[in-house]
Amino acid sequence: MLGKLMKYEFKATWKLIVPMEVFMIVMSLFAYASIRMAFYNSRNDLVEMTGAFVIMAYGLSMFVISVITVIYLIYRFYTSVYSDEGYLLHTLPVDKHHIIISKALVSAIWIIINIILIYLSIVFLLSSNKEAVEAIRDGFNYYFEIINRYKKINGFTVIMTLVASFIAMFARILKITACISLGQLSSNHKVLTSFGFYYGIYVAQRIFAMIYYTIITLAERKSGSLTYTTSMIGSGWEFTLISSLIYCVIFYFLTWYVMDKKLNLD
Amino acid sequence: MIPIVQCMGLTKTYSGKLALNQIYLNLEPGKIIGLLGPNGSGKTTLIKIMNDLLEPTSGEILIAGKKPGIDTKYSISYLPERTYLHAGMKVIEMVRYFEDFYPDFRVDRAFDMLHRLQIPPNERLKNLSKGTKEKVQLILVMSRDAQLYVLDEPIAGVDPASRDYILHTIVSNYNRNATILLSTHLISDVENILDEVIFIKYGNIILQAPAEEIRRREGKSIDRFFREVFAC
Repeated sequence: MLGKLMKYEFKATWKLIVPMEVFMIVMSLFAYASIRMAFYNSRNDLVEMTGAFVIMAYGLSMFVISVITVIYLIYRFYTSVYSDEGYLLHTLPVDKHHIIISKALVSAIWIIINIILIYLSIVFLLSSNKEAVEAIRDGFNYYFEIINRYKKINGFTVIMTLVASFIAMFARILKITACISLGQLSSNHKVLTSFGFYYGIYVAQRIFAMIYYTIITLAERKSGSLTYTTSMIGSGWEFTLISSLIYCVIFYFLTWYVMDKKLNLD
Repeated sequence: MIPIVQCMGLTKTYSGKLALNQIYLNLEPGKIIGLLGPNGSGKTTLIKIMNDLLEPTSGEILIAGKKPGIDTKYSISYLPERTYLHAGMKVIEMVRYFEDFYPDFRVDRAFDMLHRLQIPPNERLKNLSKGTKEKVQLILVMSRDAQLYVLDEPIAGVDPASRDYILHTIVSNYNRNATILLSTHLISDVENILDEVIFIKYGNIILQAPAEEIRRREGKSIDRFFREVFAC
């Protein structure tokens, strides 16, 4: 049933998201063409101005499309689970766990596609100018050189950083599903309550992270090994991975609990 | 014979307010049963608990001997009073959706009813009128071979001319061994098809009897009797 739920979740969401992603690709092509034209016709003011305008529109569209994608996925979760459509979803002969996993996985896939497209688009744009590529490469080399002074960066670190980033993203998605679900416990102000829970959880997470880094820094200063800054740069993925896994479990349980035990559709 | 629905001391409160009060109820298979009561009497609460959309505060409910959950959702075909279809989907996509999730769904029956009610399968739901959307929902629900059909206000949103046809659709498209639980305010429209009647008031079952017996005993229609019992 998980596969079927995911299939229909994709069907319900692709109609808005895919055209936006296509628009993003088209804007990238325009921006690329503008940079090339501006580079070869730098004496023409009109070409330069148009190029600057297109690149600005490109940057704005990347930002707006990313924001709309996330807002739409949140809206989709709310309407399909807790509004009138919930009457159909919750009377399907499917496990509640499958409902949560299907929604979270489909959202994660769309967000990853969005991120990959943005990265590819930026790389594509930079490829139009050799000097920019070299400057960025030098920047990265310098960055890795600093980090390598304190902690070796190898393939394992890179993979674990990617894994930790993915789990962190999944935790953020589940945080939103948990907050929307907890908002349903209020009889009159469900959306407002959801925002309240989101803010409360955000503050609690910040405090948790601050306590962790304070303890680590104090311990490392005592041993005289590292400074606060280097410890954050060099060992980021361990904390992100562990804390995100803990958050995933907590937020998943909260979402499931409300959906299974406290469901009360209007 | 195992009752299709058994309620044993079923109670539901919302923030301390009593919605269902210690309900004891048995529904036998093979009957069309009217669940009748004024607004706020607890009809929808009882229906939601049957469909695993609400947890009871205390007491127990069994559907064909099982607690509400995945198994009972295979047995119940539920029509809520809300429009629960995704507006962006086409009618035919909803038919496929039901076919995918419910093994007892009969596609040929659904298309036959759509054809008879002149509903275009390729039309998107957002382009249909409220009444037509309700007809589509009813068709989807009645195209299943379920053990229990729970219909919450199935004719409230359709014009009087279509009501007879819809009631005929309900009666002629359900499995004869199944039970239909029909909740409505429009008693005069449905009373001729009812085998049994349940009156619910302030969360209490105040009457459960065969429709014919009520008519004979009271010497009046169920609609008139309902108006007397629930007179303000």
